[in-house]
Amino acid sequence: MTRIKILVYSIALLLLITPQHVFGSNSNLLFKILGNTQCVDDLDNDLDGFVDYPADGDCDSYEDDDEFTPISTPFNLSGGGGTSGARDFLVNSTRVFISGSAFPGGLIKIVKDGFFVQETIAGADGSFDIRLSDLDSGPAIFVISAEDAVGRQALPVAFTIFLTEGVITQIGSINFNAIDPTATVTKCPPFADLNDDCKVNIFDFSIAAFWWNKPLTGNFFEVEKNKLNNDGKVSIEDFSIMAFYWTG
Amino acid sequence: MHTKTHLLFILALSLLTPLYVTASVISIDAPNDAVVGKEYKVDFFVDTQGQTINAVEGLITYPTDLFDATYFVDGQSVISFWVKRPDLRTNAFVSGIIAGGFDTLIYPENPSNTKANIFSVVFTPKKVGVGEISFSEPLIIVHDGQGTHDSVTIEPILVAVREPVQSDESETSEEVSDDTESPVFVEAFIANDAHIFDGASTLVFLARDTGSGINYYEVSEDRGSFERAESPMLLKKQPTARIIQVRVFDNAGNSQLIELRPAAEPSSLSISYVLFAGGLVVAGYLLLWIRKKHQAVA
Repeated sequence: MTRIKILVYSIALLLLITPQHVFGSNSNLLFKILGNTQCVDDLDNDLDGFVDYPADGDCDSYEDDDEFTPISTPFNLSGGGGTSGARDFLVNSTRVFISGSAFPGGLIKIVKDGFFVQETIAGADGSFDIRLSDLDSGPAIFVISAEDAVGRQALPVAFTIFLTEGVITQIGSINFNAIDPTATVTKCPPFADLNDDCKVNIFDFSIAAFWWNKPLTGNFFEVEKNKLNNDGKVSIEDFSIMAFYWTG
Repeated sequence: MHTKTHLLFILALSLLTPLYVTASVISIDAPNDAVVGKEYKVDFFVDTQGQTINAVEGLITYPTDLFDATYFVDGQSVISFWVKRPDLRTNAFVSGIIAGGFDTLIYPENPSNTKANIFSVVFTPKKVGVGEISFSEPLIIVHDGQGTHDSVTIEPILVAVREPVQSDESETSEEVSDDTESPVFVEAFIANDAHIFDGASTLVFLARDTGSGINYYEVSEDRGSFERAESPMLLKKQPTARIIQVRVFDNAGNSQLIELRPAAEPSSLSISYVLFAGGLVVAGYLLLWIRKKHQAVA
């Protein structure tokens, strides 16, 4: 009896102390601060024709802050002496490097803080690597969407990360789940696209903001009914639907 | 036997306990010390407890006899678009969305932090006293595409305001007025759509400021005077002015100007002028040709 009692209490206790939440879409992402080292700065600091790690053999890793080959006469960019001249190459740009695996030949699109910023085509092995520079420091919301070579879309990956001024942040291991092969190609969001341009962006937001807290008139009744939450008004719930289907 | 049943009941109850019952928490953070006449910045945070959310709204509440709300600061906010920025002079209601949703703010250098700033308010304490600063009538919407409400817990703060002392004089740091960076426009365009201002030319604009935050916008059409404006804005000159300037100011007074020159479509009047001028040139050449021909014959 005592053993059963201990067992039951142990299981109950274990279940009760189980964390009440787990990280969702972010749990499989790899985040890393690279700093602003010479081996990640997108520059050929030593002018040897190779840029950054791993292309430049003088770089041991991304964290290596010296892209220079030891040479007898230190290269000087600013006319002064010593290797310190090389520092002139460093830029204090806040950057983000995003990499992962999607679908061979498929489109990868990045939206930051609600605006489209860059797109690329995944390689033959599905890998992609996007580098963004001159970003503002502070919290940044990234939504990365991927489609396969025929245009079928996977569920987007979204995350919010704090960007530090002048620092390069590497976000890796963004791996998209397989797309259902029976899925159809859908180019237009099913809801919240108020101006029928197959996008949900700041203009749709502006249209909804125009009607916020106002009685609906004209054919906007139908728009609200078909594309928002069909409660006869524009309120925060409608904007939430818009944020869900946001394409940038 | 009774004990066994009792224990099995506890076990079953534990198994039924939902693991994902959470409530977003809005917490308020500020320095302990509020001093009469000195800027007092209060940060409002959201911790979603793992839930993904995409909209927040509510009312900033504070004792108006103790504080003036001076600035609304959104420079470090996760909110992407404000449906309603508060007018601190009249109504402290605030409403905004996070495009794409938000569950946790990842600080690579501090992974244990999960909460994110939704906005800050800089108050100016007016007199000595104690009062509560809170966020009332809160609504947080889950990122599910259906407008589902999340449950919300508010953690208000109690602030004690004191008289300034001599040592306060040396503390010159003022978070808002120290900002020297200008705001940056991320979007500004003119569009027409039947669902907004009956299809008239509409100006849409948005700027961001990671320092003290956006304060207000002004718009000028065809070099006229600048007037305060909010996006979306119905342009006074329809179909559109030739030059539209949008100016944004942050809370520290830094500004940025952007100029739009919509491609003017040729009006029927200007086409007439071009045809008339073209006709004159052709007629002139014709007269010259006839004159030369007459001279040659003579």
